[in-house]
Amino acid sequence: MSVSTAPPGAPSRRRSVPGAKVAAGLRRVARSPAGAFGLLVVAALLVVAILAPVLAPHDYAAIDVPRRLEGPSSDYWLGTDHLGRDLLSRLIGGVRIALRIAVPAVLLGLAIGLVVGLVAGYVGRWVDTVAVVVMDAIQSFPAVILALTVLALLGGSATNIIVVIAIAFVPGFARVTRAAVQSIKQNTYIDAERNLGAGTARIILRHVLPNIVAPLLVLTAMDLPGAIAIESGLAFLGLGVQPPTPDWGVILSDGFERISLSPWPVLWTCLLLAFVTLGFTFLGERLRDVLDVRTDDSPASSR
Amino acid sequence: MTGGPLVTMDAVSTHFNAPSMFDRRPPVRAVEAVDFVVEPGERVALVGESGSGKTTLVRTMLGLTHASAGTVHVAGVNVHESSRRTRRRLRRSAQMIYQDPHASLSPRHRVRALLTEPHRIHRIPAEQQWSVEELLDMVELTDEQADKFPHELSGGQARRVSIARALSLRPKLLVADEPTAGLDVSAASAILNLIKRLSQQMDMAYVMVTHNLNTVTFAADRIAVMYLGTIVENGPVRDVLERPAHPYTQALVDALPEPDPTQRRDDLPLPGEVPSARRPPSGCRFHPRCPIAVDRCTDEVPLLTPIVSADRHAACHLSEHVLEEQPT
Amino acid sequence: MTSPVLDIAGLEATYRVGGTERRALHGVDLQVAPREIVGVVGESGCGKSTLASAILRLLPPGGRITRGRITVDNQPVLELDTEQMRRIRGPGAAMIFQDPFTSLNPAFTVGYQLGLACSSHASDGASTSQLQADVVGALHRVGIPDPERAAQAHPHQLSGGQRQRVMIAMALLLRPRLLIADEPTSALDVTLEAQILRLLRELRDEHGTAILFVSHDLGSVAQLCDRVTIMYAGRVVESNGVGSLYATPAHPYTRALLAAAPTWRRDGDELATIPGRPPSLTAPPPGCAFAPRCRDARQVCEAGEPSLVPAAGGTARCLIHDPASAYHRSSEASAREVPR
Repeated sequence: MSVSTAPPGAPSRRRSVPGAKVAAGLRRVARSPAGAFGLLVVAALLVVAILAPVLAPHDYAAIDVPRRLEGPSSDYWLGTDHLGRDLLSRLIGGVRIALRIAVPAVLLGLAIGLVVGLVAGYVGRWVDTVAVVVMDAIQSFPAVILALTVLALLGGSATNIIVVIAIAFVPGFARVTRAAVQSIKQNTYIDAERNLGAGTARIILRHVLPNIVAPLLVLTAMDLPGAIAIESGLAFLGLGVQPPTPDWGVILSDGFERISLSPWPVLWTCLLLAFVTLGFTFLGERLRDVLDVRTDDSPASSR
Repeated sequence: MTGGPLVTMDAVSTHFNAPSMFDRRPPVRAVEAVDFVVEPGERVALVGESGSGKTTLVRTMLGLTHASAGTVHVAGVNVHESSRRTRRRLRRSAQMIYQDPHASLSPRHRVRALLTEPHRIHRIPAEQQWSVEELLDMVELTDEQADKFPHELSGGQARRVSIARALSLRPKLLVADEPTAGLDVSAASAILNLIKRLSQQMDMAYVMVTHNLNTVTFAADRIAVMYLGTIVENGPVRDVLERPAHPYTQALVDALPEPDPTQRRDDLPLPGEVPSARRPPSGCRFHPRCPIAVDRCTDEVPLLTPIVSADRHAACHLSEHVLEEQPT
Repeated sequence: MTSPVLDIAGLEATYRVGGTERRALHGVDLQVAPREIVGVVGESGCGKSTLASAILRLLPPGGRITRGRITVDNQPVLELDTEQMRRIRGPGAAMIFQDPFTSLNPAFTVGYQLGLACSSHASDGASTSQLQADVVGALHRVGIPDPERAAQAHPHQLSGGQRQRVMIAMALLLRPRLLIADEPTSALDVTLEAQILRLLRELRDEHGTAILFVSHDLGSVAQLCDRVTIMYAGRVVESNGVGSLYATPAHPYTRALLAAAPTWRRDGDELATIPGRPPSLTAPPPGCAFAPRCRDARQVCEAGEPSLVPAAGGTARCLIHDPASAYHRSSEASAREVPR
């Protein structure tokens, strides 16, 4: 066996298609009942969000006062609210509102938290101390109080709401990122990469980030229902959207005031929120298992 | 770089201070005033028991750990006083393979990516690169290993992958930290065969850190014995083992269990344990456990001085005595 | 003739991991006479640790003994209930492991744990001060400096070598008839290893404890053991007195192992290795387990598993030593190429 000292290499071929990996991953997620449920919920939400106008049997703003506060019927499958508006159509419409605020808020929180956590965890020392103090300060406020304070000062526009909810989630992302970075930094393979000559940027991008994607993805999935809840909470308290926009929080607050007359608005809204929260949580947990390369539950594994 | 040693370590010390200001213990003096030289193409075994500082020494050699005192020159570069860029280029001359092969391979990347990464880091032009298949072949692995993740490899395979990674930069010096740890005898021998053959083919020097004395006569030309942060003896490997000039070396050789039931020892080569590197003994660090220690050993640190021949050194006030006392 | 302290007959054990079943032990027979030190040698995966753990029924979850008989000190271990088993573990048979850290409870002091071990088996009502004295005495005998202070220490405050010595001290206090030592020195430096081996020999010489010494290191086995058993792929492939085994190894695997163990005195351009890898335990090949890697294998070796036959003063599981086998009639080399 010889070793040539002047190597003309044939370039290594075969790059795997990224789409195939995602598809395979989704299939693994679906393999467990919890994961399948979670995927179903997310899929359903997306479908409803996209097709809301088509799916809703009625216009969510259409008032029908004689039929107010009814229970389920053939015309209004889930019943009506205090102005006779179809609950089903309003809840469907609410999906868009919820996602339109919640998704950008969580993503923005993720982006900021990721950067803060990366810098704090990797650089350490005083930068880390400052970051931790700031994050603790933000986290010490209940999210809704924080939101109320800021919005009272700056006004309740959709952008402001998104930013304020994002800020409420930044500490969570920053902490997870920071902890993961600190733990990864101690691994021998990071030392090995540095030994090979890799610079900080390469180490962070190729060896740290891929290993924190998993917990961050999980946290994102689990924070989304939280963001929806906060947004609903703000709407419940009167901040945010204007009537007749079918925000779930508004539906809930209107229904709550008249709960003795008809339980249905509160019932359906809470059930929906519960489902969404459960779905995302299950999805998040299943994602966490799937994304650890060492967990191998594929049926054809033999070694 | 013209003739002259590949590695020169001059009075190098590495001390580890307490990690926080609440820890008032004295620093760990892992390496203390060590001189160490490696010639181009030379094969050196660095032996010592746990706590001897051998891993810290080689890490300081490569600049992975900061030296508290002294200078280190590798391939003409002053390792600890160079710019980042120079140190980066140094990585192409000197590489290391780690004791735990699985731990040193980034877990989310396949072997293929791990093998090509050094080329990408140093932006080596394509004509000078070895292909993944060639690298795998060099370390006697089949092509099908290329698409595996590190956790899917056996211990021996993971080790070969780390060797291939280090070699892809064609270093002049390879540091192997316990390359046979955790391997069965047959797999360990295969790895040692591989490293030696590669060193011959690529004209590459290596420093092999090991506590397995039985492998050093095969793997190395020269041996350096460390105890509690200092080099107590060095020289041509067979000479040192057959006729040690330091009582610690003698004890190590005597303690090796011979796979020969007709040769059984009754006495104990070395009682006690290695003391803490935070509070090393005064004078000669070995004196509390030394069978022939005298008063001078407690007061005066022995220096590495030539003994027997110009290429052998021992740090012992009584090395002549050690040589005399040996059974023929 | 006195009965053996340990008698294993036809032991079979499997591990179930995920959906697959791995057969770790295939019909293993082994005896240890009183005051005897028997070494069990093999590479990783050969089943030696499974064997050691099985004796005291300490197999990890997923492991099962499927067949066979184990007798410790005349008690049929596999048929005992939990309480009877508890009484055996200790004075009947004690075990020490490669990593003593996980055998010692980090929450309690060393002295407390040692005291617990000997008080739970004390036949007479020994007083606390007596127990303490015994504990300190044992720590002193195993060479731990400042034993009174060591008794007050917690496991993590001691070094690896000291912890291993604490385990031996526990064995000294329990005075078992049999000590099962599973790679007790593999993680230790060679000077510490020499001390531990010496302690084990003292345990046998002074207390009459028989020892089952499991190791992959041919050197320490040669220094310590009276008899040696070689294991491969879950089977016993050779067994003999230590002198005969090292001088005239009968089984090709034993010979290969001895040749592959490097010693510094030997010269050479290349270290000997054993080509190929151990067989899969989920789908073992037919015939002799070592045949695919054996330079002396012939086609008949792949036909059926050889049985243990007398060889060189001991026994070996190889057709070469069976004068009646077809091995000696045919001269066809094995069709399979010995792999790299």
